[in-house]
Amino acid sequence: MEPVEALLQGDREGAIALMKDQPQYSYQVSKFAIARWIRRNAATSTWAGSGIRLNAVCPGPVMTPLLEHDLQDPVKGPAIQGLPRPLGEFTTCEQVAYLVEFLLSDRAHFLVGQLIMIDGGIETAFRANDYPTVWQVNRE
Amino acid sequence: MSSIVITGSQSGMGWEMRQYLESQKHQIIGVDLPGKGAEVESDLSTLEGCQVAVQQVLERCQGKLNGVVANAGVDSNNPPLVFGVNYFGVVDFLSGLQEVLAQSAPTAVVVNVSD
Repeated sequence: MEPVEALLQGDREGAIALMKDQPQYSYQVSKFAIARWIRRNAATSTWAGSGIRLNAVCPGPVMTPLLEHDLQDPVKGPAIQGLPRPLGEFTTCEQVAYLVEFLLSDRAHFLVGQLIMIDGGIETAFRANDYPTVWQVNRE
Repeated sequence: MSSIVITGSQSGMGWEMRQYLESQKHQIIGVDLPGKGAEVESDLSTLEGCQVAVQQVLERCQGKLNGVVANAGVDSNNPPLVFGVNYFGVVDFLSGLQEVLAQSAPTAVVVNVSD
């Protein structure tokens, strides 16, 4: 968690230093941190309070030239193929674009601070019970 | 018609988003690394690069910006690069555009947080 918190505090050098022994987790750390930044900031006066809605799309594997390349990789290929694929196919860029278009539009007026998974249901196989969790409505 | 910035607009998902949104008559201001054909060319992995990108977007959009798609991202074992593009390249870039987005409200930002 430490490098994520360092990023959230704007400490670029500190966050980088914390990755010295685990540089291979840079990507996951960066994505976790930006997701948390969105969740913490979207409803503030700077963003929603100023009329700017902040949300995220969270695609799983998406059919792109990069994915086609990774599917040929001896390590990445089997790992990707081993993921559940409830709809029987990979998300396409077009489907992600439709969701982005919607989120940019005035019809998404009440969507604030949401991280919308668009992966055909893969992540439900791993963390179906992560949320919703009980939330404390009384804030200090 | 609306004016939308897309980072990482010239390849992968960003390119497809660009194509689709243009087909729906949105005006796209693409941001990408130099040499890839984007309207704004800059390296978002550094603070300076973000500031240059923000400046050029502000010049192009002329005070009106309807949305930003923070899509640019890299995957490697290089923490400065990955943190630079995937985290600060989003936070610093969006912070620089907050004022014009507020002036043009209601507006929207979508971040691509690929898992």
